Amino acid sequence: MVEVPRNFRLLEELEQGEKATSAGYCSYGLADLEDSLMYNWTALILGPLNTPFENRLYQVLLRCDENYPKVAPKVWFITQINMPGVNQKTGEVDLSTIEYMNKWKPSYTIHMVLEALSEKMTRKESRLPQPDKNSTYKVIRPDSKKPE
Amino acid sequence: MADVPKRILKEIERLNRDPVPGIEVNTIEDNIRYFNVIMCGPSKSPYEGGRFKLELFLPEEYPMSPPKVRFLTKMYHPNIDKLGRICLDILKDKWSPALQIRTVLLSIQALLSAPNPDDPLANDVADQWKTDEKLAIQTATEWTQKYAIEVWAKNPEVKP
Amino acid sequence: MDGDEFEPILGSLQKKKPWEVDFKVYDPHDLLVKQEAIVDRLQSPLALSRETTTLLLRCCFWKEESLLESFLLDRDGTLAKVGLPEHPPRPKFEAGDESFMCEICYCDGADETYLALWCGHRFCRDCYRAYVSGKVHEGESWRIRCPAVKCRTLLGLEPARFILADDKAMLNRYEENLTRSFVNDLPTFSWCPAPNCEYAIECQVPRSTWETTIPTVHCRCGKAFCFSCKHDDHIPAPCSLVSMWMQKCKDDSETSNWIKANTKECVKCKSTIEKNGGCNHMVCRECHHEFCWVCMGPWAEHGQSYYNCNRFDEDSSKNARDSVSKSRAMLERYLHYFTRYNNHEQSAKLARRLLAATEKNMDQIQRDHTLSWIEVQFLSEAVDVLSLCRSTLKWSYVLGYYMKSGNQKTIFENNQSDLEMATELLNELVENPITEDGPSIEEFKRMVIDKSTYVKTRWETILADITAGLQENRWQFESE
Repeated sequence: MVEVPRNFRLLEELEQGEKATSAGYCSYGLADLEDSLMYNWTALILGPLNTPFENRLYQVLLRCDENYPKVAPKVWFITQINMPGVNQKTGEVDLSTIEYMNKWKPSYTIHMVLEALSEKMTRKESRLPQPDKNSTYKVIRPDSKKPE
Repeated sequence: MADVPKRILKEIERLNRDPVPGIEVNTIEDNIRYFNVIMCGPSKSPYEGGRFKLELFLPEEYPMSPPKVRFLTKMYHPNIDKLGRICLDILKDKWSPALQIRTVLLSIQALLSAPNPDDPLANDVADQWKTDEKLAIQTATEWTQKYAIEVWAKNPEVKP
Repeated sequence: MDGDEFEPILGSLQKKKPWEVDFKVYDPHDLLVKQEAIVDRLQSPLALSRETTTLLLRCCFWKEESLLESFLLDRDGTLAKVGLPEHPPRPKFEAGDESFMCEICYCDGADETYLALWCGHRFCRDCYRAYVSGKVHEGESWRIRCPAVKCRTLLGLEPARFILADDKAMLNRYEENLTRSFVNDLPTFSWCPAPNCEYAIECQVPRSTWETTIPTVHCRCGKAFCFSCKHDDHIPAPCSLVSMWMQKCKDDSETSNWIKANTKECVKCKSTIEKNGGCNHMVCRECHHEFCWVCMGPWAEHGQSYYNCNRFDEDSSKNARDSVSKSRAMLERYLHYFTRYNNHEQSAKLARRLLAATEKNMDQIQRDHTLSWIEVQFLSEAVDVLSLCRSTLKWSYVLGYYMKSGNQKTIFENNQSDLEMATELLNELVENPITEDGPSIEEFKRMVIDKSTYVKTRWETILADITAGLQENRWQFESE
């Protein structure tokens, strides 16, 4: 297999995200449209029907460092969410506890991370009481170039 | 590493033996299909004097599909967007498998000499180019100075 | 036209309704025959090879008359403009020589086999195969050109078939692409948008009348769609309103959270109620409270006139509007129409599920009452009528949303109410299984047929009125 370098791989993912129709339950794009290193990505997940997350929009931050896609992106919920695998103080997602993502492979994409998070929302163990709508985690994420 | 087609090996060999004037092409470690490019801005253009960084990748389907290229240096040009992506017909539907890395890079260099604001990728830049060409050219010259000349003078090793 | 007869929509005995349009369904074989027939017609007047005739026709999007005219006026110019020789040479692979080098893979010498079109650009056999296969894979067919940089020479059909001769699957795909391109290049043809459907539809209704006579066509696979915008059947709302509405729904669903999908709470006991039938008459399983799904009001008050809730009562909402902000009123107005639109959509989905249940039901009736298959068809026909009316009702709310208030709108809304009430009654009747103490099967059948006939009449009335209104420019629409 020919190995696609990080930057061109992320450009492909960006194009797919730009082309995607709104029919989906999630969308994503670059957090900073001028960041030619394509480091930070921002995404929205629509809470699935018939779950405690229904009718809510969740903002997610993903960070793809120099070693992506060999190494998984770091993922944080910006919108507060009570769900297993999400650190309740910082919103950071522990991908090793998310089904389908626990063994990262370079073929995985940002879109697949979002799909896995959305799937997690539909699981039994995620049927938990939720914080107020639209509340966000107030933290400065480590090595974030621009604190939120 | 997968088998590298003869065509790619020959292209690299030729580029090394007979370099394109004003364009440097270097392979990046452990991926023979991935190149760092330094392109000199064409004379009599706002990019004159600048040394611009690009990255180029030959996808698996190459040469049946075009190479992927983008600028890493910030560019003020109506056919180049903020991420350095280039709008050029031969990189899209007008691609011919008989084109090469060499011809692609020469076409990009030519695009710097002849911006085409009627087929824009960066809309704001294209509008500026159409409404006030003089100012647009001045901005392009300033950007060249800032991102493609001074950067090298300060520290030749630094990534622009 | 070449003497093709359009299929009558509802059998030749019935007269065409004002909202119906003529169309013809083609299967892949019909499409091949159609293309060949056009080439046949032009080949002798043009006095060209079949290959060149076909390519010329494709280059000018099958416009026979304009091709013939420009060809008679300027034979050489027409050929040159599309880059075609009068008699293209037969494609063949040739052995390379000392000077040969393939510009694609850089192989060279006398051991290689190459092919060149009449433009003279030589490429080796393997690269030609890979190149043409790649293009075919991308969906291309006759537009494939010589691989040389900036060469405009068309590859042509015969060379393509020659190059792909050993790859049956790719060759088939090439032929499919040719047919695909034929349908795409002709404005009077369209593919059926249903997934995996291979039929195409020809509709000659002029584009200029698409806004007043919505060109709804029915594919042989069962799919009904609009020939103009390819959306699912959206009669009676014109395409322009449909596209505005869809955009609005899309924008709003992203920012607001009011879409109550499939569940609501019982107004009385607050237990969750799932709507599992298409009828709006709801009975809570917990407390047996009866209410209307649309307005959530008690069912008893509706009686036979519950359909009042289908109308956004401009008068009674006036007071409300004084106290709440205008934007809130606008949202409420939108929600009013959206709720009803969405309700019919959900009910239509349930109606389709109902059809499956009905088929089982009919088996049961057949066994219990020793009726023949044909005698129990009334139920499936009733469900068909229901689906049709749900769709029309759904889109009539889009029409209503954009329609300016006034006498005309009141008439329209009365027709809408009539159809809606009749549809709900039929739905309720069909949904209830036959019970021991209920009406006899003969009685039941008569009731269903009577109701279906009545509903169908109401349906025809509203469609006839809306269509006439569109054609007479009687409706006034306002966009936001």
